Amino acid sequence: MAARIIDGSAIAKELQQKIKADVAKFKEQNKTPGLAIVLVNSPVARTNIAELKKRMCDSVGIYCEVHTLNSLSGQANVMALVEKLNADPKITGINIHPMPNHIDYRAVVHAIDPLKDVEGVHPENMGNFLIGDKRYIPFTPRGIMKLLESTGIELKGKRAVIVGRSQHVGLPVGFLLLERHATVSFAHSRSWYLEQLTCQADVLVVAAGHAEMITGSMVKPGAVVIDVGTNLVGGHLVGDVEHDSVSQVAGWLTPVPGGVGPMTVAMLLNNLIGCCD
Amino acid sequence: MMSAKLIKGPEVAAAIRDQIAVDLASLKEKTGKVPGLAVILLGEDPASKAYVGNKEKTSKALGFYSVVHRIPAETTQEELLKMIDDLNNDEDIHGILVQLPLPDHIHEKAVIDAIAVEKDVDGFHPINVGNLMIGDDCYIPCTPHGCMKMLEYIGYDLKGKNAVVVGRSNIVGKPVALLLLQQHATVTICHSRTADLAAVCREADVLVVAVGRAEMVNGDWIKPGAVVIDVGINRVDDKLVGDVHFESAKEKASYITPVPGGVGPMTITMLMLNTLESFRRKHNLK
Repeated sequence: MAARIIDGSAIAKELQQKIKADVAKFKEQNKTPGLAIVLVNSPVARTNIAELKKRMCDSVGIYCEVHTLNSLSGQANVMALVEKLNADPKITGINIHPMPNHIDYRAVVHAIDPLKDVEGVHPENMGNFLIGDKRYIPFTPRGIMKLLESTGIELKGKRAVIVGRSQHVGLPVGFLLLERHATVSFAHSRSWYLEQLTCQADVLVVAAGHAEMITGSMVKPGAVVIDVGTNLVGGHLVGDVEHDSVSQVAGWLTPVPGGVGPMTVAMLLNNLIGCCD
Repeated sequence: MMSAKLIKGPEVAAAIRDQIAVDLASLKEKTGKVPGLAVILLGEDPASKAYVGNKEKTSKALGFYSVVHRIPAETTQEELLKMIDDLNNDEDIHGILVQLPLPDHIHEKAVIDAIAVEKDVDGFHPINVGNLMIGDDCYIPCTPHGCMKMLEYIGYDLKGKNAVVVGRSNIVGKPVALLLLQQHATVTICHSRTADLAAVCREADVLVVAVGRAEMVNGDWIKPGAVVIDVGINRVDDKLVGDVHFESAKEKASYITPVPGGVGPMTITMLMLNTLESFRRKHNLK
């Protein structure tokens, strides 16, 4: 039996409707959420995603500024911009896109006003998140939890395995699953016995950035598989999960594209709504 | 039948204290100053009093500047926050510790959040916790830090190994899991809701138990040759026992920490290490 597909696009659309309604309510109180996206022009800048975010903001009534600094901008330029945005009352949330190597990304993140840290990446927000006192939760993990909720499966006591231990995805999604009383394992590139571990997972979240590294033989029959990877291979977008073989074994699977991806932008805006409160 | 080697807390702690003494002497020579640790104790809880007494004794023995504020349980939150603020601004103090638990009328989080991040030698401030999570400079909470030092002491290489942490508390389970992960172990966090806990424990090359249930983990749950770190301290019939059933576990493990005499004695030493580190950072000395 083929896995059921978790339709991230459809779930994200529903969420957008809810966000639109929330924004309208804020506007009645003369409050408009405002997002600033900061990027430095470079191959990692993901300009197209910034444009997508801007369009989505426009469609739900959120004010959005995209600040694209030229490729020669240095640390001081980025910091000055962040300071300016921290002080700008129109801006309620700041989203920093991946930075080129010559910029110290951590220093930039430290400089964001934690109250405007819609990404949930400032150490104060990360720390509060870990100890269970939440303000902002990194939005990709939050989107993943929404996708899991949509399947209706009970997480309590289940085995969840996270492949990948990044601070934006792997770690926070693991701690969110822990909070829902799953038994959580973090695996990564150095893990021995990876297959032994993934084969036990009732919930498998793969965020390793290696195209199609998880194959059908590594998945427990009936498992829920969330594929966070987006890898460009031969002009095609593929996930970290080999779709064809895994969909024969898993109970549920997110497609790439159309799974986790569409959720992240929606959850970013959802976090921004929280910021405005 | 093999019998596990013991990882003795007092022995590991003594080795670290020797190093602290050496480092302190050289820092004192360079700066003319010593690290200062301030401890605040509210009320008369006997266990808390004993802990604070030990901290004071160790501070002094190592040549740290030690201040202990023993204040009444009725102290208001406002008064306590004022005291913390004064210590935050005190040039001679490099570490501040408020002994927990606090009386009910005081909001614990407000108190922890009020401690200056650079003086939070307990490692409980959210910015420290966040920095621990993202692998940035931070003060590592004392008990998890002690566990890691014990693994370091036996020269254990965690890379690629299966580490299982039983217990998911903010002060032990979660931070120790992050630290194990930073050393490239594969880390599983278990808890009271885990289905078939015994089976998960049996996968562990390194097993860290911090749940506070006397002798819950027995020898059958332990993979032969595993390293077992027992963080629990439970009083049973006037005897202290860990979360691990020591007698059966030591027949399976290659190394095990005893209770008492295991992780417990490490904690205060780690506090001193963090205070020394704070002093170094303040004076830009590595």
